[in-house]
Amino acid sequence: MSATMLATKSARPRRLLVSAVAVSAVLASAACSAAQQSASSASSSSSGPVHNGGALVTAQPNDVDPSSFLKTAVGNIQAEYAVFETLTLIDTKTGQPQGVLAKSWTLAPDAKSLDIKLRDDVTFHSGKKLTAADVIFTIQKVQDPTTGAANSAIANQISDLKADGDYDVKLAFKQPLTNIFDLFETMPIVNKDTYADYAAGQNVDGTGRFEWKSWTPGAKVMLTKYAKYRDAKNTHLDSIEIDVVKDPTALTSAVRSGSVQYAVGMAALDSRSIGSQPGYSIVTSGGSAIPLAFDVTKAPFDNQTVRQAIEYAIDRNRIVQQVEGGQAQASNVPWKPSTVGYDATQAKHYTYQPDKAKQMLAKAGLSGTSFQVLMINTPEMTGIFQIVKNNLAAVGLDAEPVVVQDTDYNARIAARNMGTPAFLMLNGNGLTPASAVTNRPELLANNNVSHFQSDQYSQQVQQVASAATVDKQKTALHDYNAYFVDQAFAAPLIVRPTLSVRSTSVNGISSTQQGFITLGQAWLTK
Amino acid sequence: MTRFLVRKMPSLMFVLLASSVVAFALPRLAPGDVAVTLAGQDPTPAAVAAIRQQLGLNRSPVLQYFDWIVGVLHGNLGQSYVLHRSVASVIGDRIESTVELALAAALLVVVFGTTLGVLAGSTKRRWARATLDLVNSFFIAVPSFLIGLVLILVFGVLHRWLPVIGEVSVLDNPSFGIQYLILPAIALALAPAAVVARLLQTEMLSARNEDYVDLAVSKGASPSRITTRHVLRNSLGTAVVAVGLQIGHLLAGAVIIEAIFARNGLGQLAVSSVQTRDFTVLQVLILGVVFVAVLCQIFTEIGLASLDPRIRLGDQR
Repeated sequence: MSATMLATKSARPRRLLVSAVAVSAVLASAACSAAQQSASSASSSSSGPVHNGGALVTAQPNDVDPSSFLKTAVGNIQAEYAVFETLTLIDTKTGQPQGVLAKSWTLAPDAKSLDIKLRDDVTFHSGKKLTAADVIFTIQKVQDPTTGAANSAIANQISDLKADGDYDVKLAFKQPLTNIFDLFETMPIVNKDTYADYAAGQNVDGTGRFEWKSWTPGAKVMLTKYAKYRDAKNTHLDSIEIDVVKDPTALTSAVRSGSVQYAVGMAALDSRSIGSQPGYSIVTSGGSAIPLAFDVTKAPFDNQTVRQAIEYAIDRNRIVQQVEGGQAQASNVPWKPSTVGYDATQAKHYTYQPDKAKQMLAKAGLSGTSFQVLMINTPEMTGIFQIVKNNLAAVGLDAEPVVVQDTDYNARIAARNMGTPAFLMLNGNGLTPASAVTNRPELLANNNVSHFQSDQYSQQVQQVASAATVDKQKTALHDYNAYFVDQAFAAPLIVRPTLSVRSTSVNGISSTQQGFITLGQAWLTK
Repeated sequence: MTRFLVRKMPSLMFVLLASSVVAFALPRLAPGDVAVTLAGQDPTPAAVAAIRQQLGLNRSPVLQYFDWIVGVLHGNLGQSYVLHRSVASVIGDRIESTVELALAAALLVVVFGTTLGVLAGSTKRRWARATLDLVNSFFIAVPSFLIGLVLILVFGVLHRWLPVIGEVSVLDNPSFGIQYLILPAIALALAPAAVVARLLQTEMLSARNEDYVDLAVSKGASPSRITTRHVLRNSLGTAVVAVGLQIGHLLAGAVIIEAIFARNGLGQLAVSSVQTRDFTVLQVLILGVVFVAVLCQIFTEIGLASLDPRIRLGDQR
C-alpha cells in the first residue's frame, strides 16, 4: 500500500470528526434562535410608561399547591393574589386595611362585631357572581381544623357568622378582635361550588385579574388575563407563566439567561449579586424575624441571666452586614417598624457588649459550657450560626450545630420538641402583634416552643390580643415588648425583608403585608 | 433465549422483592412526618393525628407494606400524600421528560463514546493518542454538574444560544424539544461516553496484537477494514457492557442534571418526594429504578451474546 493511500486513509477519521463538529455547530446555530425567541428577553431598559400586553415569565423554587390557597403555602406566593382576591389587604406603608372585595365595613367600638358590605360587581372567572355565601363558606373552611388554614386561631374567635342579603356579611366575635384584618389578608375568597376541585388543579375559580389556565405539577402554571374583571383596563399583562425551578443555581441561571424576568425564592446572596447588576433590580417584600430561641426547661437556659448574657454576646450588626449584605436590621422585637406601638428603643435593647456578657455568665457560674443549636439547612441559617458560634466562643461558650431539613424542623415545632436547648428560627413578621402572639409558635402564651410560661406573660399576651383601640394597642405592645425582651427566651437577632429579583423590563410588582407577591398590575416595558 | 429468560426470572423476582422491602423501609427511616407537612402551619397534635389516621399511617408498618405491595401487584401504585393524585399519574406526567433525557444522553454516549474510542484505538500518532487520552481523562474526572454549569454559562448566559431551563416535549414540538435537550444531554453524556471510549480504546489496542489481525495485514487488508471488521468487531463486547452499566449511571446523574436545567423529570420528583416525605411516590420510584437496572443488565447480556458467538445465553460449558 502506498504512503499516499495510507495518509489518505488515516486522514479520513479526522475529516469525519471535523465535519461532524461543523454540522453540529450549523444545526445548533440554526435552531438556537427559535427556542430562545420563545422566551421573553430580559432587556436592560429601565422602567418606562405602562405598556399593555406581553407574557410575564417568572420562577420560584416551590411548586404551586392548588389545595393550599387557604394555607398561605409558599408555593402559591405568586399565583394566589393573581387568581384570587381577599376581602381586604393591609397597606404595607400605613398598616391600615384597604378594601378589595369588601366595599366598606364597620367595626364596632368594642371590636366585638364587624359588618361587611361586599362589592356587587364581582364575578368569578366562571361567570358566577360573588355573594356573601362564598365569603361565609370560605370563613367556615378556615375554621375547619382539617383545612389547616392560616390564621385559623383568629377565625375561631368568630362566634357568629351570617349573611344579610347577597352582599352583607355580619360577624360577631368572642372577644375584641382588631386583628380580624390579618385573617382577611390570608383568606382568599373561594367559589363554594368548585372548591372541592381546586386540589386537583382543576376548576380553580377565583375573582382575581388572572384566570388559572393550566398547571403542570412540578413544572409550571399558566395564568391568563381575565378579560371580564371589573377593572380589566388596568390589567396590563396578557399572561403570566410561573415556572418551578427548584435548584438555586438553576434559578440564578434562569434570571441571568433571560429565561425568566422575575424570580422569587433566590438565596439572598444571589439576589443581592444579580440585583446589583445592570438590567436587574431587587424587590423587597414581607419579612422575617430570626431569633435565637431557647428551651427554658433545659440548662443552662433555665437561667434568665444566661439568656440575657447571650443576647449581649451576639454582634447583630455583623450578621446584618456579612450574612444579609446590609439588607436587614438588628432588632430584639419581632415586629416591623410600621407596627402600631413599635418602639425603636426596645428594638435595640441588647447591644453588642461581650464584656458585659462575660460578667453575666461568670455571675451565673457558667464557663466552658457546650450546647447544641438546631437550625434549618439553608445558607442563611448556617451563616448566621457561624457568627453566633464565633461570638459565643469569645465569651467562653461552645455552640455546636445541628442542621436539619425543613420537614424535620417543622415536625419538631409541631411536636414542641426541638431536641436541642437552643435553636435558630425563621418566622414571618407580617402579622399584627395581636395575631402573632396567638399564632406564632414561639410567642404563644401556652405551649410555645421555648416552653416558657408565666402568668404575667399570659396576661400580656391577652392584653395585646384583645386591645380594642389604638392607644390600648400601643400600651399593651409596649408592656409586652418590655417583658418579652427582658425574658429573652425568643428575642430576635435581626429582622429582614424577603428579597426577589426582577428584570428592569418588568414593573408594577408589589407585595402584601405577609410577603405574598401581587402581579395583578405588573407590566412589561416595550 | 427463552430458556435464558426463564432461568433469570427467580433471581429477578427475588431482587425486586428485596428491593420493595428496602424501598418501603428506607424513606420511613428519615426524620420528619408527612402528616405535619399536610396539616399546615404549626398544627395541633389532634390535627396531625387525624391526618395520620386518614392516610393510614397509624397502622403497623408491616400492614402498610403488605397493602402497598398487593396493590402494586394489582397495578395500583397508590396515592400521593402530597399531590393528592394517583402515583401512576404523577409518575406518568414526569416519565417522558426523563426518558427523553436518558435516550438523548444514551445516544450521545454511544456516538461520542464509540467515536472517541475508535479514534483513540485507531490512531498511531502519539500526539493524537495523547490528546485523546487527555480529553477522555478530563471528561471522566469532571463531574457532570460542573459541565452542565459551564454549558449554561457559555450557551445560555454569555451567548444566549440555547435555552437553559425548562423543557418542551419532543413529541409535541420536536424542534424546540431537541433544543431544550441539547445542553442537559451533553452534560449527562460526556462522562459515561469518556468511560466507554477509554474501555473501547483499551480493547482495540489489545485486539490489534492478536494473531488474526496479523493474518489480515499479511493478506493485504486495508487499515480501515482491519479496524472495522476485525479489531472493532471483537472489541465491541466490552463497549456494550460498558454502555449497559453506564445507563444506570445516566439515571442517577439525571437527578442532578434535571435540577440544574430545571427539567420536570423523575429525578426531581424523587428529590421533592424525599423533601416532603411523600413515601408512596418515593417507594414506587425506588422500585422502578431497580426494575430498570435489572432490565438493562438482561438486555446487556443479550446484546453481548449477539455480538460474540462464543457466548451462549444459559449454556453450560
